[in-house]
Amino acid sequence: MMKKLYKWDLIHFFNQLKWIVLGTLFVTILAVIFEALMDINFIWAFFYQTAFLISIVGIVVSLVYGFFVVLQRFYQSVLKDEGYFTHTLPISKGKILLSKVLSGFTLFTFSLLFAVGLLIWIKVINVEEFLALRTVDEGMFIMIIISLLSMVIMFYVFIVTIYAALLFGFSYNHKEWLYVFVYFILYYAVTQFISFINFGINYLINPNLLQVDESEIFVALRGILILQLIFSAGLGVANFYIARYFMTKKLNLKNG
Amino acid sequence: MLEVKNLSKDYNGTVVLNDVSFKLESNLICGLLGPNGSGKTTLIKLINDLIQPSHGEIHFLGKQLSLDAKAKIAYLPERSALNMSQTVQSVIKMYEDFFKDFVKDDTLRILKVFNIPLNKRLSQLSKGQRGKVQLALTLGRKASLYILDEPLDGMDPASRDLIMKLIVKFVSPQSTVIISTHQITDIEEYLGYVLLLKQGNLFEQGTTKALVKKYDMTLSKYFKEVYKYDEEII
Repeated sequence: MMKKLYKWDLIHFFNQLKWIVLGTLFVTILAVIFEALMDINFIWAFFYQTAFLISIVGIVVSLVYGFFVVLQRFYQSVLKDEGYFTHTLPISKGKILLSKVLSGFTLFTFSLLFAVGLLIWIKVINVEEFLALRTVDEGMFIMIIISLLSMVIMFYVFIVTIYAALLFGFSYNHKEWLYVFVYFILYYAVTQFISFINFGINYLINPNLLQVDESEIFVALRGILILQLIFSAGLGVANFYIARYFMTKKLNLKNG
Repeated sequence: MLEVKNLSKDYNGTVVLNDVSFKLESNLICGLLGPNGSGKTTLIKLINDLIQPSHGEIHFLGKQLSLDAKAKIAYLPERSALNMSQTVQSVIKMYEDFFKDFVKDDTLRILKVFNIPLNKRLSQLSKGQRGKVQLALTLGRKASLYILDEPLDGMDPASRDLIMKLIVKFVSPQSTVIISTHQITDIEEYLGYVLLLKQGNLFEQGTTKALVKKYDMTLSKYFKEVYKYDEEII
C-alpha cells in the first residue's frame, strides 16, 4: 500500500511538472545549438543569449516549483480534503508519512539533478575548473564539498521540518498558521542552540580554534561543518518522529 | 458488525460528541440523523479513524478498529476527497490500484447512469457531478461497511431518488450502510434503523418501524418535532 501511495504521488508530481521540465529542456537544447552556430555567424549570439537567459530562469523555476509542489501535495493530501481519502486507506499513519517523505525526497533529488545537469551542460558550472581547485587548495576544496553536501541535506531536512510544522500547527483547531510559525521559531531556536553546542565541542577539541593561521582556516572549520552535517541529519530524523506523533495522535483534518 | 461504546470527543474542552453507544447488525441501512452541528460528521470521522476519540471504543467485526478493518470500510466523505487535477478515468484506475474489493464495471455502470464523461478532469465537473463520481467509486467497492456522509447533499430531487436506488442495488449483500443526512423524506422508506443525534448526544435509536410505532408519526415528522426551532423569537 505504501508503494502505491508513493507511486500515485510521483504520478501527480510528473503531471504537475512535465511542461516546465520539458520546456526548460527544450530551451536549453536551443541555447546549446545557438552557441554552436555562433562560430558560423555572430548573429546567433543574440538568440543564444536569449535562450541562455530563459534556460536559467526555467531551471530556477523548475527547482523552486518542484519544492512547492512537494509541500502543496503534502498539505492537500494529508491535512485538507484529500486527507479524507488518504487517512481512510488501510495503511498506518507512520507509513503514510514515510511515503510522503520518500516521494518528496525523490522529486527534490530529480529537480536538483535536472538543474545541476543543465547548468553543467550550458557551462554555468564548470566541472573541470572545480576539480582543478583540488590541486590548488585541497582544504578549501573539501570545505566546499562538505558545504554543498550540508546544503543538500538541509533541503531534505527542511522538507521534513515543514511537514512536522504543518502537522503541529494543524493539530490545533484555530490559528493553525500561527502555530506553524511558532514551530519554525522553536526550530530556529533549537538549531541555534545546536550550533552553539557544535562550536563548544570543537573548541574543546581544538582550543586554538579562534587563533588558527589564515592558511589553515578551512582545515579548522572542517570539524564544525562535519558535526553540523550530522546534527542536521539528526534534526531531520527528530522532525520525522515529531511529525509522526502529531499525525498519529493529533490529526485534525480541516474542512474546505 | 459495528459496535460503538461510550464514545466521546471534545476539542479543547468543548464537547462535540458525548457518551455515544450503539450496535449495528449486518444487512441493514441505518440513518444517522440530526441537524447541522449535531455531531454526525464527528461520529463518522471517529469510525473512520480520521480523528482520535477522547473516550470510548469502536469495535468492527468483533475487534477493535485495525488496518484490516479499515480495508473493509468504504467511506464517502461529504466533501470531494479526490485530487482535482485527475481525470475520472485516472481516479478509477487509482481505486483499482488501492482497493482489492473494487469492481470497476459497477462504477462504470453508475457513471453511465449519471452521464459523467470519463475523460474530464474533476476540476472541470460541477460539484454535484464530483459527488456522483465519489459515490460511484464508493459503491464500486464490495465492502462490509459503507459510511455515506450526506450523499444527497446538493443533489436535485431526481438524482436523490436515483442515488437511494443505486445504494440499495450496488452495496454488497450482508453489508451495513450508515447514511448521514438531514434530508429524511428522501430516505425514510429505505431505512431499517435510525440513530438520532442532538447537540452531540444520541438521544434516540431503534428500528424505523419501532420508532414510527412509538411516536405514531413518520420519521420526517418526528424529525421536525424534535429539532424544531423556537419560532416565537421571530
